[in-house]
Amino acid sequence: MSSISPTNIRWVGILLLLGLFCKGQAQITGVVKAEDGETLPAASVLLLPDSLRQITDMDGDFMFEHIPEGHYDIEITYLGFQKKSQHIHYKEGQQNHLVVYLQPIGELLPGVVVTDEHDKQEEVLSSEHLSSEYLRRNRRGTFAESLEKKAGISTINVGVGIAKPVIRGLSGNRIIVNQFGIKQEGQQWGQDHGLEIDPFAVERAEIIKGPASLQYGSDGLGGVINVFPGKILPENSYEAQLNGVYKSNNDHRGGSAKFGLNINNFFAEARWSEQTFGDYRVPANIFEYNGFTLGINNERLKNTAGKETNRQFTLGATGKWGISRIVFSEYKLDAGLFSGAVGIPRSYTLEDDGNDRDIDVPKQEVTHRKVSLHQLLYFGSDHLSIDLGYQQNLRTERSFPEFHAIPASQIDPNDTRALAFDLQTWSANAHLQKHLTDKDKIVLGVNAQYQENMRSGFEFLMPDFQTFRSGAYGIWTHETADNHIFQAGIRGDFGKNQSEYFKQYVWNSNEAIIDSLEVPTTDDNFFNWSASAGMNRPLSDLWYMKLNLGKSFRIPYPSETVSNGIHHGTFRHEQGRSDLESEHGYQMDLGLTYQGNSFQAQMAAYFNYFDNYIYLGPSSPARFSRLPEAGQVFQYRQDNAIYTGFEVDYRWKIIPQLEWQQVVDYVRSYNTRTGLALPFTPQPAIKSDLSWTVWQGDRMENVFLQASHEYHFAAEGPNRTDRTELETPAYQLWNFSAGARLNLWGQKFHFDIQIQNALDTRYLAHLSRYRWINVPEQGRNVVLSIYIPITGSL
Amino acid sequence: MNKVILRLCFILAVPQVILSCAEEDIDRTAPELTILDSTIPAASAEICGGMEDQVYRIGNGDTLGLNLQFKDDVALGEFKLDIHNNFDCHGHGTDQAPGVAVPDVSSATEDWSELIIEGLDGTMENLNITLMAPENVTPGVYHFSLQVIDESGNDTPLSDIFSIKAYNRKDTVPPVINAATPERSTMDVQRGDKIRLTGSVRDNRSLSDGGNGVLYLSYTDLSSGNSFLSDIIIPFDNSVQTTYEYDFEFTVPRTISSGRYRLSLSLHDGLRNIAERVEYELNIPN
Repeated sequence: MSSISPTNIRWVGILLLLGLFCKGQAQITGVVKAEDGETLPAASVLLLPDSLRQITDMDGDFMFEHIPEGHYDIEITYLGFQKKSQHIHYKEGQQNHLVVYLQPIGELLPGVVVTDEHDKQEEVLSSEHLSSEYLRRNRRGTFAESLEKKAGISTINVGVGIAKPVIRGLSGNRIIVNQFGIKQEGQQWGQDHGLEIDPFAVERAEIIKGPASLQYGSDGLGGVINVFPGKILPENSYEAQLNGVYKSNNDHRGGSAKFGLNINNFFAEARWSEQTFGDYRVPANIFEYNGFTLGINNERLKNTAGKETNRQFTLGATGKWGISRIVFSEYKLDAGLFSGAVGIPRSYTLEDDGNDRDIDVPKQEVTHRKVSLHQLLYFGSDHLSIDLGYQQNLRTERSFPEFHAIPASQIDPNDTRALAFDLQTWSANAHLQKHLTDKDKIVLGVNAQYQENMRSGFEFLMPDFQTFRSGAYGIWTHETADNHIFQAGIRGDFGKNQSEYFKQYVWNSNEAIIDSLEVPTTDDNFFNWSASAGMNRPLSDLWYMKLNLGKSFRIPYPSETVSNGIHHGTFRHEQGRSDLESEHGYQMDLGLTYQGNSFQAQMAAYFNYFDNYIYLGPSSPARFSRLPEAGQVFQYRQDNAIYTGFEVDYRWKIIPQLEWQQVVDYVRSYNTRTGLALPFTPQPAIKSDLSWTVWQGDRMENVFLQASHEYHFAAEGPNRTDRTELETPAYQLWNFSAGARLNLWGQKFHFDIQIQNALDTRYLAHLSRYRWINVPEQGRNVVLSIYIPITGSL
Repeated sequence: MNKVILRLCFILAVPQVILSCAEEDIDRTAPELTILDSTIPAASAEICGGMEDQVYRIGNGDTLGLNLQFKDDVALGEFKLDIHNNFDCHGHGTDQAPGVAVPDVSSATEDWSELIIEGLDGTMENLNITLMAPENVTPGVYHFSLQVIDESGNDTPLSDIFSIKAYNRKDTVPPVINAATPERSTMDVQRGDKIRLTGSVRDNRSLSDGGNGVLYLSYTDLSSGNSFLSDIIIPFDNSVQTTYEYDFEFTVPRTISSGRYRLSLSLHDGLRNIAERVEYELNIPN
């Protein structure tokens, strides 16, 4: 790795671009004081979004040098005082000395850290920012589920260990998840494939709702989830983090340990996380499936246990020139599938096996390895960002061959590797942000990604394939004197899909070939363009508005063009169509924000029209699969479709100690040919929280109690379900939580307790994989978590 | 708020209202299938350890005549009939289900396998179907499913899955295992240990007659219920008559994890009549 060490990159960067961007050195300075004017030494000052941290000196002063122009947030924390965030619009040549006053701890809950990714499209798009504290308080089994409380976000899940995010009803290949700038590639097309990210390792995240394909690539037409790197430690300091979690429902035990240090601005971080869980409990003894009444022994779903192990290692350097990082990570999941969910459930598959922690066939095994290099180089007020990544996703779905009508002569009956994919992805992204004038800046960028997928296993679904995606874009932003922001951008894309010919015979039990699954060789090229224009303007002191209009498109993925087989994860004979064209989205998004002292609200409404929207539905006219033990053929089809909806999210501080928050979420999808909804449209929901800050003190901070209620409307009728899609009744859930932060012996301890589904309500979730077999969701779950951050100087 | 914003809100609100009032008369009704008559009546029977309501008992060469009626409110699509064997009970091991695929031996009997797909027209159609069990049918349990879809794809998947219990008149008597050793039914063993199994099997006809005669050993992990075939598979060739003396050693796999296991000795005669299994419980300590 010596050839790409941060030091070398620093020199190469400086030499190449010296002179081009020669601007004067710039700095932000300030002083931190208590309300009474006393200066506060050793306060922590964090500059976001660049995660630079300084500690104030004996006079309470701090200084960030060589900072490019732009919007920043400064976050100051000091023991015994409320955390304070302050937004600054930093310009060279202006007075940039801040005087920040901190209030002693009163009765307020700490505000959510708001990061500002100043060079991105989200300036004019609806977005949500998630701090580490938010993620910790709302921690669920997976990272995707931790986001569910946010307006417009839901998940498609398989039990408790596998989940993927849905943004405004769109999911799979229409959502990009970027970890540190590299797009996560892990067979995300599959409804029963989860997101391979360690929930403990996410310290800051951002959700962009709406078409963000301009900067992130054509798959981002539904939205983007950006997982940012954690904070860079102050120079010559160290930090350790210990996380522990226990969940009563499935005896889930998890923990994560991180150690990081920064010596002379060279930093390193290592994290190790592990979670193991047993079969989970549902508040039901039986479930109904196509006329059969089948038992759930001891109210536990047999074989839903799992284990997740994650490792992450970061090396980096920071300085006046920028930030360099190399990140290695490995995610491993071994998760059982409910024995009744593979094939046709019959009572004898559901017998109690006497062990609720074993992970047996049928199951999923996933390993995701990633190595990535991230380089941010400052040139005065401008910067160049380069991200390079390689990732390998190994997915194995295990099942017994006799579940798949394969005669014993054709396979070793003990070979359980039904479906396996080895997906390798190479990615490269770069963008340059440059100020043209005081008021205008441009972002110019390129992305490229190459993928190879190799299949194996006795079951056939998709052949080996290769994909290539590339694009170049430019985004221009103009800011007026009265803080109106106008943004416009355009992007051109070239993509290529290549897949191999494949044929697999289908046998009957008399060893006779009765049919075959066959897919053709494909080699398709796709060219297209996207564009968007938006604005962000204050309407008054308290109101501001975001408006965005965009045209985006998505290249079909090989799972949509060349799949052919019974996906036993989904019970269907699924067929791709090699003649699919790119889908195009025409999208409009309006957001209004009100920022009062005790009342804040965000409202968003959107309208998305898709031309040639790709989805899985019955063939037309409908026909049966010629394969034994299969129902009708589901084909990837293209129709015009509409996704529209709105979100309301408001919080009201009734009295300083008491806060009420409510989130209303409505998505409506419409297939213009069938007149029906598109499959997997989330149920509309209203989520309410009442939080009471019980105590704020020196030793005990942020002692809070919270009661939450969720109401999910029914997914019934042609407006909410597609043809053959099961209808899901409405349900409501009560959740309670409490937490405290203790300061003992100079050390902080964060304790949280959540009671999820407190009333042990039996309900079906419309987007759950187990909904198809009428298996209810997880019952009452008491979640205990502890977080201990340890910091010090070297 | 200025007028532009109000107009934009209005533009975005309109589709919500219009789409909320979308047509309710879209065809989402699944077609119906009724078995008006069958030449062999269905009855309750035990299948793989559980009771099922609609089981057809059919002998070799017998015919099953079905008078089926299909109805749909708009337009019928296709009908599919599927018969395939369920010898492994499609599931994990229980006392009744072998839990593993039956070892492949040279088969002289014929598994019953049917796959019929027919197009349907109009809103109502009657269909007479005659199915004949093979003359030399492999006895055992079969899945028997009937499905119908309308032209739009409305369906009720897996709603009409029945079972067939097929028997072969040439021989309906199952063979018998007489185990001599091991004498104890529960044993503590170590990985790599050899367990010697001896005894005899006998049947009313030649065990090889029909071609499916086989003696095989499998084991079930009692902590998971999953079963695995061992490498001990003894197919009966023509030299085997009505009795067979067995004597072999089973080596406890060195890779096996500790815990409780059930070792099962299974026997089929040539027509796949299935003997009562002989079982031993193994305990492999840590």
